[in-house]
Amino acid sequence: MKASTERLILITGALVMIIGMPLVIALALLLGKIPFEEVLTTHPLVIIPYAFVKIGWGLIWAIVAVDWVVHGSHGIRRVLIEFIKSERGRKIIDLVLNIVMVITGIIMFYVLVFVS
Amino acid sequence: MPALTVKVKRFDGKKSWWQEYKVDIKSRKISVLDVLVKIKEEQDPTLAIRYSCRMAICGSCGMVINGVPRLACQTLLAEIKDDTITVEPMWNHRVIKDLVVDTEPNFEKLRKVKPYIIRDLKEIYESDMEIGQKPEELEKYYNFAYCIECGLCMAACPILATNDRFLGPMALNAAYRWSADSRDRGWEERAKIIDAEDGVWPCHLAYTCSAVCPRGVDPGFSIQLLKASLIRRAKRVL
Amino acid sequence: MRAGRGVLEWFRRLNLERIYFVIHRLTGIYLVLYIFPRPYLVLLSGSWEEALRLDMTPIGKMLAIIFIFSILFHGINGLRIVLIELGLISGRPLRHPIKPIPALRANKLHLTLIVATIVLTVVGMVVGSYLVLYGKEHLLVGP
Repeated sequence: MKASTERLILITGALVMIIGMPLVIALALLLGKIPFEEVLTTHPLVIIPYAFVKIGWGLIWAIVAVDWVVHGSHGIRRVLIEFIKSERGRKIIDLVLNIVMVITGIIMFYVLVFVS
Repeated sequence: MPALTVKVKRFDGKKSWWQEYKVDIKSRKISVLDVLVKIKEEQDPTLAIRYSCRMAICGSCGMVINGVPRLACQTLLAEIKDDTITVEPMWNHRVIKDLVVDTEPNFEKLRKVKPYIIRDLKEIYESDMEIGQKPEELEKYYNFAYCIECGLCMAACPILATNDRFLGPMALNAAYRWSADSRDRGWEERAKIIDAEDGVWPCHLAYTCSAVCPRGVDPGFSIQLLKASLIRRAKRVL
Repeated sequence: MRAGRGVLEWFRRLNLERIYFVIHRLTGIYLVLYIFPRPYLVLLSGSWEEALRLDMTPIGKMLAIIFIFSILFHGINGLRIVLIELGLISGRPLRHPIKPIPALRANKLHLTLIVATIVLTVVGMVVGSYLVLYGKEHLLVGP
């Protein structure tokens, strides 16, 4: 895969999160699915996932969270390969990070959709 | 005029240490290079410095002055309000002796990006055509052509500190300058070279290269233009 | 001998964008370390309650505040980086023999994003920290 394609994946992931997350939360507020007073008085880590699940968009939240995992893995890869200069070392880093990314992504999707 | 204290980072091939010199100066309208040459002539002839034109055109005297990569000939004492000057060799480079660093890796990276017009030679030799350039075509890359290859941008880049395989601002700026030239047809060839793990993508917009450039070349921006051209799969650079 | 300080070069405060660069890196690493273990914790404990219980401890709240700062700064600065890399922040450097201005410093949109990053992060941090420290820990809203 070309390096520019990989960068495009990172950028697309970033845009999904930067635009997607605030948009869904704002829509949830505007549509009245969660009371505004609750948003202003509740711990953010409690209200944000609730907002997604409450409006039945748990699946979208799961997609955003998996996208988080992909973006995060690519980001960490970028930092790690600065320190590893050999081709073999970089291939090992790629392999390890891809495995971590896939496993974490699957588990993230599963726990967001199927675990209450 | 109070005496100036100049702290120079020395290196003799084995060990490195800070050496202090006291220099009497009659005016602050002289450059740091003048002070270093004075030290070399009057106090310590073993001090190794690289310089040539003394007027910010050759790019030889790049060094770190008071924590900022600068050209010694262009840095006047009047700009440095302090009576203590700290001088060290350019960061991210192998030190040969004292303030002289190995700049060959910079030029190797520069050669990798093919810094010349790439065009079908048959077209030039077999026809009588004149390859002109309009003022607006010149304007597109002119600023980036001011590069004197001093290497200060390479010294300032935080990515080169950890990844010396990164092409660096100097080479990437050259890649943009030649690809943006309307007479050039080599963008596809250069794109393959810079669209790589250690090509243009390690750049993460620290922008210090543009902040320290003594010629106002703005290599940081030329790198972003290259990235945009690659992501958009542009037929010519933006 | 190689001049410079290796990875400590990231922390030199030479220009504003460099400071943003290092904070972006550190917040990115923090976000990965904060988010990646969560699904494993939920999977092992069987529900989200255990993760939320840890979030409500004093250390959990401190980490949550840093998380809010990280996600705000990393997100807004990331938007700036994305716009630049897609070529949507255009212009050319201003050529001047004594005081040339780099293109990004001459671009109004870029300057707005630089300011917006810090303003929105600080405002979001203040509000978010208040909610983390004093907000309700359980929702009283029905299904």
